[in-house]
Amino acid sequence: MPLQYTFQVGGHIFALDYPNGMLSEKELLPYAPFRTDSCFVNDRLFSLSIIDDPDALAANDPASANLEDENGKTTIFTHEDGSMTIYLTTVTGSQCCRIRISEDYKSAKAWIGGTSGERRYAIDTALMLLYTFASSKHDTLLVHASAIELNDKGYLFLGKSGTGKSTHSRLWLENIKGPKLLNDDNPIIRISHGIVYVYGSPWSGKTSCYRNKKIPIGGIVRLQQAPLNKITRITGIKAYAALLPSCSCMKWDHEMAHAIHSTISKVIERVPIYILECLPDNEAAILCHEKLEGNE
Amino acid sequence: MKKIEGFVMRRLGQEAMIVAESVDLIDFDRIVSINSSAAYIWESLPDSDFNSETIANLLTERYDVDGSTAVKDAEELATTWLNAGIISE
Repeated sequence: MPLQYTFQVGGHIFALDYPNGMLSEKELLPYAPFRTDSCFVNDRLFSLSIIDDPDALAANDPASANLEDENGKTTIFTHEDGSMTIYLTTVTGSQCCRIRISEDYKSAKAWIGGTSGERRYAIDTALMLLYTFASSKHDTLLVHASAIELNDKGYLFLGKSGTGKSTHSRLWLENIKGPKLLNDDNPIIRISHGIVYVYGSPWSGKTSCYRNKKIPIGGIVRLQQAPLNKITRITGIKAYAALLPSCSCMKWDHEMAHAIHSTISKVIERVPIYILECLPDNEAAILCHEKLEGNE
Repeated sequence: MKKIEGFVMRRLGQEAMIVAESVDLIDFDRIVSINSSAAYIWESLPDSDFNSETIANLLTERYDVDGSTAVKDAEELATTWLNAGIISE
């Protein structure tokens, strides 16, 4: 009997099943706070089954895209029936995951392998990809950001890799009274009844911060390294351009790109967006906090 | 000239922009902000080849401008778009 669990992340429910022994407690630890007992299949955003045979997920079509980042390579194959296969290869060149996703993104099969670290990367990436694809039509964004909560409001710090998102969160924790880290790498933004919320998630980068919590967003800040500290509120296309690069999306999939566009447009209408040119120092956090919690 | 495949126009309230939405475009995050007359031109241009005369004709059709101003504006717009990398020669 395979083991099956359901999780609720960003208000969306998904199911994961795997043959006994295929995933360890260590790999699933970040997901534990998100466990739910919901058994209504219709409510599920998607279901992922882990299988033990990589050959069952071999892709024979030519690759339609190759994307590389600091974690490794993602190869995407699109099939005639609308389904898609994705291979994940680590920076060391070993393949650690194959995922086959149905056209409607609702069901998927995956094989994962490699070292413990590679398996963790594989399961996290597979679930994040599925989550991004399946939730895009539901006013939901998986964002690359560090998020903190303070006085029942959530604040997100965005920026290119290495800009100092986590550092800026830490500076808030050290210099301001009361904030708590919500997520350090991939929080979720979701609009519900006109209110924009940030949710913690099982995906928090190198920081073990897997909090199942939802709070209204008080502000979103894009960080840029600079020789000084300066914060500026931005609107319209500038605000859109500040948010877009940090949202996970397959931009060549027109339906998904359209859905993400619509969600970002709604977010920037409802939430103040800022650019923070900053140094990695205490002053940056104090200035940013004053602007965000102050009354403008 | 030709629109580079994968760049699409999106509206944001009263504003408009050209964004990259294709697997072949490396820089997905490039956004070119455009004004309302440029948005009208982009929407009206064919996916096939066009030249600055095509743009000038669209301008005179829609706006109250004389021929030489339209040609000048059309050439300026084409240069801006070529430099922005959203159309090709």
